[in-house]
Amino acid sequence: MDHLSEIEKKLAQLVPPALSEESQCSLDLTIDELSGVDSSVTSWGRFRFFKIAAVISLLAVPVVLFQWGGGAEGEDQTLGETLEPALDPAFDSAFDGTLAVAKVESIPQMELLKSTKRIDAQEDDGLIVPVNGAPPHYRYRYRVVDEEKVRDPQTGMVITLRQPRQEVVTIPVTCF
Amino acid sequence: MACRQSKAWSRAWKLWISEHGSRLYMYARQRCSCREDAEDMIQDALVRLWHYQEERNNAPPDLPLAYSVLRFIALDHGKKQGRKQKKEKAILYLHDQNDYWLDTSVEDDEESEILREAVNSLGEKLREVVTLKVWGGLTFHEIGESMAISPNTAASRYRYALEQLERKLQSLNQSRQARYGSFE
Repeated sequence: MDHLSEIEKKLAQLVPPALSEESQCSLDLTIDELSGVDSSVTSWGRFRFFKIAAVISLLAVPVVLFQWGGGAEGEDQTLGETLEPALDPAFDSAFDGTLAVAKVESIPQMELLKSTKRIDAQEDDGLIVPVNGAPPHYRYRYRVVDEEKVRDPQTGMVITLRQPRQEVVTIPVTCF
Repeated sequence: MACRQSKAWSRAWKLWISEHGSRLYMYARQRCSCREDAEDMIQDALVRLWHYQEERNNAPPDLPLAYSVLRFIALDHGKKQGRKQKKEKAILYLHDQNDYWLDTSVEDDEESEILREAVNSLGEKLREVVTLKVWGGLTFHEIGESMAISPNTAASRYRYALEQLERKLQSLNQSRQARYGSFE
């Protein structure tokens, strides 16, 4: 079994996926209902928590930008520096704490690591009989997710791009 | 007092779900065709387990029991799906490979992908044993209880599955190298 321990180790390294957030919330609500805990309190508490967290984040954004710009003393100058480059198409600077505008030529060439097309879900619409007299057909809807993983060779940053879409497949009913 | 007890049960079960949710999802996902069905099955299993555990002080269940219940629900779900599919002349039966039951966003290397393919191509009984042993956190004895087989049978299936995976890994590696050339 020693030679199989290698395979076991590799299998153990593969990561199982987690439940979706929606499913997690749904299970929590079910547990609350079954145990008789007032779920409106817990869900309101959670909702209020997220509301407060969102407000704090929005308030923090100007503070962060303000600090990034150099503080109160240099505020006017910094704002000037940040606004003007955005208007000046020739501006192209390295990161120095101000907002920089990238020219089209300076957008890095990304390296494609992985490109997948995944079918996430399938829905069966059943037999469709069009009212306009067209032949009947079976219709299936597929939720497809196009996923691309790219890497910026300069910074090493890996970005995953996911684009969900719906594909509809129709299968005509054959004569019999 | 009753309210405090209810909250304690609720906390215990939520903790249990957060600890074992991904394992249960993984097990359920390999027995159906999409994430939504797997999550529905877990929801059903949770309700059944709760009612079963009412006689046992509402304590969260043992994992082998949870898998057994999930297995029963999956079998029932499979029968319903099978009847539905037999009615239609569905030529396409899509099996979502990548969202299947292993998170593909973490590993990026070629071998992991090959290994996922190999596990996916195992027979149902072998795949089930591997899932429960490697990711399900069960011993062979517990796997035997869950699948209604003897621990020896569980161990044999597991060994056989690993041997198959090793062979498949080698042959998939060879075929990929033949197609794309060596990456070394």
